[in-house]
Amino acid sequence: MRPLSLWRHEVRRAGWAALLTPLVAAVGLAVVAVDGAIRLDQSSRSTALALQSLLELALPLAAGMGAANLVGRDPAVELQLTLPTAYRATILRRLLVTAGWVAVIALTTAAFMVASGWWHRWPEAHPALAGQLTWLAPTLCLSGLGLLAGALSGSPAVASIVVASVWVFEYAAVGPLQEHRWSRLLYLFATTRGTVDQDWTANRLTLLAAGVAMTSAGWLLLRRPSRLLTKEAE
Amino acid sequence: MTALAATARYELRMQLRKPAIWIATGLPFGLWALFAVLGNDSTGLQRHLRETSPKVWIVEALGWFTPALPMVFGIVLADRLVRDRKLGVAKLLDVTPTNRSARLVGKYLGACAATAVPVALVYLGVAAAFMVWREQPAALWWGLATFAVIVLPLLLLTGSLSFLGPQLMPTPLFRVLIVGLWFWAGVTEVESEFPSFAGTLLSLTMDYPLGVLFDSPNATTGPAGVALDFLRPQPTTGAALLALALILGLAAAILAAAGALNARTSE
Repeated sequence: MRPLSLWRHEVRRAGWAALLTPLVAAVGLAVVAVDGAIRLDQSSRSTALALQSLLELALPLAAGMGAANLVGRDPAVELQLTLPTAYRATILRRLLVTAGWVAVIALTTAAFMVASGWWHRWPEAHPALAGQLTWLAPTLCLSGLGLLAGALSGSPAVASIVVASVWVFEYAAVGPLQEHRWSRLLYLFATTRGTVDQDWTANRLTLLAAGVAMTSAGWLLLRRPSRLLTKEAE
Repeated sequence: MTALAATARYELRMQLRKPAIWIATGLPFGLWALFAVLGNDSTGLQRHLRETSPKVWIVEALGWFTPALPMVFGIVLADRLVRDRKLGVAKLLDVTPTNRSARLVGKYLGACAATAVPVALVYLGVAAAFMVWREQPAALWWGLATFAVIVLPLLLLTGSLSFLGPQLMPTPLFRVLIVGLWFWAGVTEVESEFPSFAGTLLSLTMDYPLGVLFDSPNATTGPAGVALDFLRPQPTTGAALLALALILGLAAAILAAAGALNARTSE
């Protein structure tokens, strides 16, 4: 029972902010999709794009911002560091809780889209199983970036700026980022904002690898407790 | 007045020592530079290098950096007010013989001023570089004008939002919502018909002042035949001034609401 109670504790520590954020992001995009389909009578392609954007744009941003707020917010970090459990293990558990909740929402949304037929109304959508990389790859990449930025800076504000700036940059610079193969491979929104079709799988795998690498780097940086104690109080 | 000035001075000096505000401005500026380098001939660095007009250089060359600033301001300033409560300083300050409202306004002005310093240096640096390179001192005036008319009102509005929002919801949630708000009130396509503040007098990309006062081709102004069109009048100087007045008025109203909520919570 102990591990279960530990996870329950971490869910409570993550707080309702971490649980509410992806829900708010998902509901926001869902409202846009429903409004477009019913009130504006827009094409089913536009509605399908809004739903795919929910998966590829909104949820990864929520996951990244959640990860960015993990380091530097604990009011009793000195106490945490005296415990036999390494503090970085606690941070990683909280990362799993926040990213796991995003995954639950994404999978539920994707299942609804596949069952209702909206999944395939977006021409660039991939088969349902491989298509889960639509949200999984950018979510893992931005979560890793948020954790790494938090571990490097010790400041949720800086880590949030890093995640938000990269997200906005990738959204705004879609044209220039499509002109080079290296930037196409690192492009976060390859399903909804276009990339060369044969690059999609390579792009998703690159993002997954980048996410794992950044999470590992963040984990390694958090090995030294002094890093956590010398940062500014948030 | 003393409490206001002292709080503002303390907040300004304290914030300027934080690496966060320097990184928060430096990173979007670095990404903007990358955007310019990666861009093709019509949008990228080559086009800016050929440019000889100081106005175009300041307004358009910084055309990606400037609109992203509200998001930066919102995220950086999000914890300024609630931080005092979290650290237990608020109760100590409350027992001092100072006016709570004066402290709040001082904190707001000091925090906004500190956040403005790195951005002001970016504008100054870009304008000075152009002035030396093209021998056009007018670049400094255009830099000053853009900073005063576009950046400062945005900073005051998002600063007041950052004093109110985190009192109503957890700071991490506010930081995500400010990105969403910036997207909805600035970047959404006006023609999408989904009701948004994009291209309105209240747009967070300052379309009316940018379009009317600086002739920016990136600004979207005028009626679009979609929802909320009453906020999209014809682009005239009056409309641009009205947009500025509305943004500053909204900032003052939101700050007043933040002050009232803060006083109520502290009691």
